[in-house]
Amino acid sequence: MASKNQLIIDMGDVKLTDKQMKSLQKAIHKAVAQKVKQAKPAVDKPAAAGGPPLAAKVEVAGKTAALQVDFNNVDPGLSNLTATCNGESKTITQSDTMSFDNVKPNDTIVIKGSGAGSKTVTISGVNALPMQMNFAEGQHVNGIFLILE
Amino acid sequence: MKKNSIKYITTWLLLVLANVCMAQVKPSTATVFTADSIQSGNSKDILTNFFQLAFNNLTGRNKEFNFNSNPFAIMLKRNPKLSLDKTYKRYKPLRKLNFGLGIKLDTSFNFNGFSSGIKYSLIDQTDATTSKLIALKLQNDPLGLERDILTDALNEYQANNIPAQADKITFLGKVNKLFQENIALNKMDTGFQNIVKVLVKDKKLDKVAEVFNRKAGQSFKTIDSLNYQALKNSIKNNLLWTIGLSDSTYKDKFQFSNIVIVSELSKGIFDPEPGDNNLEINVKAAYNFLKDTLQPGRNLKREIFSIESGINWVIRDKTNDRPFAELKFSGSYYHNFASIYQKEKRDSLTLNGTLRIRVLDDIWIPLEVKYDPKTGNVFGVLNMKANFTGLAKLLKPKT
Repeated sequence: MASKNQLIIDMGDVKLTDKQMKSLQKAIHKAVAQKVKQAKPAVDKPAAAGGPPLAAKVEVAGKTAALQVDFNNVDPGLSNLTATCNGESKTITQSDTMSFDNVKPNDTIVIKGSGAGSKTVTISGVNALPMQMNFAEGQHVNGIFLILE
Repeated sequence: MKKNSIKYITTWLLLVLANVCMAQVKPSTATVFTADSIQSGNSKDILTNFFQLAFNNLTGRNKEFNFNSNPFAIMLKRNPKLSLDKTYKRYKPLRKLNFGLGIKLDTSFNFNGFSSGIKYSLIDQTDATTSKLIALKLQNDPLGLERDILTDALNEYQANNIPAQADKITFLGKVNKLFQENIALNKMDTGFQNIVKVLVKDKKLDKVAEVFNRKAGQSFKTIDSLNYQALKNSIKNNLLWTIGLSDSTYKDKFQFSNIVIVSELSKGIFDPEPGDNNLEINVKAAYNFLKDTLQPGRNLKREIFSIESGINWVIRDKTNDRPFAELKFSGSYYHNFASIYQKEKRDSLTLNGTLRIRVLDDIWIPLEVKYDPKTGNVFGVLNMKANFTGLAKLLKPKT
């Protein structure tokens, strides 16, 4: 009975000598072992004594999301907007662009802020819902961008 | 030839006005200076934020048809990107400037010369877009700060409890709608309402809870709008001080018939609740260079200094805080530095009364009456002042 980590190949009509069979098995084993090693999650070194155990993590490359924030009909410095993505927060007090790296699908960017003028926040570099938010004069800024596939 | 010139000028002015009025229908520029509607007619006469069309001295001998505007407002009409904060600051001197062009007419409405002028606001503490106090109050608004906490809580909720992307889209769509659109929580689906209410209770967000309980029919957007209106009201009584130069020409030659240097100041006395009436102090000082008829030829040798000080009673509509009538009582003192005409005195005083009535949203009709206590003479001036946003509303097709 085959165990869970065995691979059984039906050779069909191919006849191999014992030596050839051993050589093939060795080659397959070596190739598979190498691939498995590459695909295996990188396990961090054990934490120092007393520290929390570190979880295994898979590195998947994300995109860079850019938020263009426009404050209108107001002097610069009299508005503010804070955007937070994956625990990283950035704040601006005049029209500018904020970028967040390594943004993945289902991540969110939360925006908060205030100001006397009208405000427009536009996201680019990623697919998100919505792609733009608009706030009227004096309206408090609260919103969440959801990053899509 | 002269009549033709007047026709051309009048046609040009009407075309400019029509162009400006029609352009105001565009939402990109029509919403720029919304604070204008709650300012008193008197303060609009001191400094207009947008466009003002005035017919002065309608029943008198020297009628005037004037167009006053702000150069930044005209530039903004052409390029709405100028409203971006960095550019907005750069054009501050232009935002504080007013210019005026006018045509003088005689009793038979014949051309009687041109007039022009510029005005600059030295201090304008009534502008919400430059007020640090308002920015600070908006930033520290307790309801806004609690909504920030609620936003984080809702984001955390979807991250922990809603795995499917389609469901996340639906949920966050509702979150954004709640915070950004004109929809109250009690108008949204019950499941979402319950989630929000539980989070509000967990996080002890008293201000938000108060909105959901006591102001159940109001959206956050409406509450923000009312709050901002109240903040603008709180600075509408602040100081406004301008300095200006105006002139007029003769009808047959481009030569100045008079030049006036004017400084005007206005400040609300009390700090009333929105909708309450108020009193404004109004002081206007002018130094007038006129033609001295005792001297030969055309000249500007007659110099008269005048100062008018008064109180303007602003009567507001309680429902929307807009002034609908104003009554101003003032006293004027005149001093003539030049040679005195026959029966003329070097110094004189008058008592003045001005009644301003708002006939349409932005159209005011001021009736000014002056009384000389020494001679007993009474004379009146009837004007009409129209703000262009008012005319734009009239021109806008009803939907």
